[in-house]
Amino acid sequence: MAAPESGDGNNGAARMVTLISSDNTRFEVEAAAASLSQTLQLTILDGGGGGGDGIPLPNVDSATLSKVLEYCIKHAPAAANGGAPNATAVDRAELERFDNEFVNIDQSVLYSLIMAAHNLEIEGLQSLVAKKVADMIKGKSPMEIRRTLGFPDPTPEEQAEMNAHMLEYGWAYE
Amino acid sequence: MSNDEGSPSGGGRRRPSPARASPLESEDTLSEILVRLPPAPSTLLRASLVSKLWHRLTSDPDFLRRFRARHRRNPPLLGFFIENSHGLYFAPALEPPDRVPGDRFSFPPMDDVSVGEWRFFKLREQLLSCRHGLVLRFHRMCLRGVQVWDPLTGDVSHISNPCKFNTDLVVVGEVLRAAGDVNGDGCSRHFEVVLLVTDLQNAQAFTSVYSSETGVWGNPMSIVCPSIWPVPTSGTLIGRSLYWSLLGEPHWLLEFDLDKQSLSVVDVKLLSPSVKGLIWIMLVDGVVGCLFLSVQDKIELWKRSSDYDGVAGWVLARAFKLDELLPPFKLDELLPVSANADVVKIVGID
Repeated sequence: MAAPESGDGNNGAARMVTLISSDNTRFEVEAAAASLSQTLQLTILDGGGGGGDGIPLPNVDSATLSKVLEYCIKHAPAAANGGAPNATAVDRAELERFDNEFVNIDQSVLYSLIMAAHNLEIEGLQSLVAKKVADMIKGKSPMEIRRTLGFPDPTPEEQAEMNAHMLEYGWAYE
Repeated sequence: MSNDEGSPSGGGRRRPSPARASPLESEDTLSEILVRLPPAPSTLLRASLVSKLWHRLTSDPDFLRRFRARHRRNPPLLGFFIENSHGLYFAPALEPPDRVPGDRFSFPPMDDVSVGEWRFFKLREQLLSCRHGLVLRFHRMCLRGVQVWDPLTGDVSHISNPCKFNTDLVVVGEVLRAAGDVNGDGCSRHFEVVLLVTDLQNAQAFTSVYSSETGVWGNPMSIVCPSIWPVPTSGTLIGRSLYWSLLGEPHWLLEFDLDKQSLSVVDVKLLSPSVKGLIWIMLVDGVVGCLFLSVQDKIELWKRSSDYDGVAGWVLARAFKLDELLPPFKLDELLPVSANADVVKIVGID
């Protein structure tokens, strides 16, 4: 079991579900946390994922799923409060600190998270990781963006297209 | 929005994609990233050169609508339209690389037929209003109409004037996006034009409202102005009401309620002998406020309030010392008395 512990003295009162990563690792997690995923929510509402069954997630490997669940567990209490309108400023600041820390990760992990958040439809996580990439490339030139994101250098043909465009919109590249 | 996502190698692309870059190869995930870029003018132009997919996405109308809707509340101020003896032109306000060149927003021609021989009389062209991304223009010799221009889309509408103007009339006007009926990007497709025409000889003011939705001018409304020389300044939109001040003293405002379609005169009675000139009408603490220059190089912000009897009065909301806000200058130059001279004017306050 690679499931992060989230007992918090609930003495098993919270319902648990099991998620199975593409490399067959089983994660046991509170239903409330897993339900941040729109994709999983219906299955869980229908009683799926309990007992020995588990919900297979063939598109998500265990390293990524562990990271995704770390996010879900942290955000589940606030989400349960309906976006936490009555959350204290301290709670919000703590979530913000967690989020900033959370995306301070290797680029390849970040990309895996983007795909997982998208496939599992976890809105807050989708927004968080997309914003991280947007912040990495904002204010950069096309070449700098390509290098930042690990794209190969442009072919001569692509370079010619870029030059023509830059001639037309030269002001945007000063 | 579901072309070649789903396949980690971005199927159909002619070169192998970089390792683990799949979210940048799928329109769904890529659009989530690009829509969060800041709304600066260079942003999407630069992103469009990264790859063919990025280019296609940043020119997709659906994506652009989402991008605009997301940034609608914090759009960048690209620059100003300036009117001087050389005509009308765009002056960019941002620093490179977001400095949109002036000729990107060159004014479309007025209705050629009606302007005819007058087309060279640039001085008679008036920029009446800029609001909600629209520009309202008027040519004194072009009796046929006013022009509404959307500089971003290039859309131009020529609208016939509701009445014939002569030289005894002062024409000002405002353009605004209509309430409700909102597009995908949060902007209304329709606009309204409000013309305010004052007759100096008879001290009367008329308003008429054009709606692009109905395509006609509403019935004109008129009111007698208390001021003997009722020259209105440019208007301020607060909620669904437009306000103009009339030059000179005592201070009067014209108030036009767009929903009730009513025109009225507001007396700005101040309990302050020190006030010199009204320079701006603005929203203050949720109500209508007026910014005045006062003696001792001060700026005073007065707001409308109801006293015990429910009668509207004005109270001092804030006061500032000018020399703490601005570099030294001659106070008189701030007064909006000489509309045609190239003088320093306060054109906006936030």
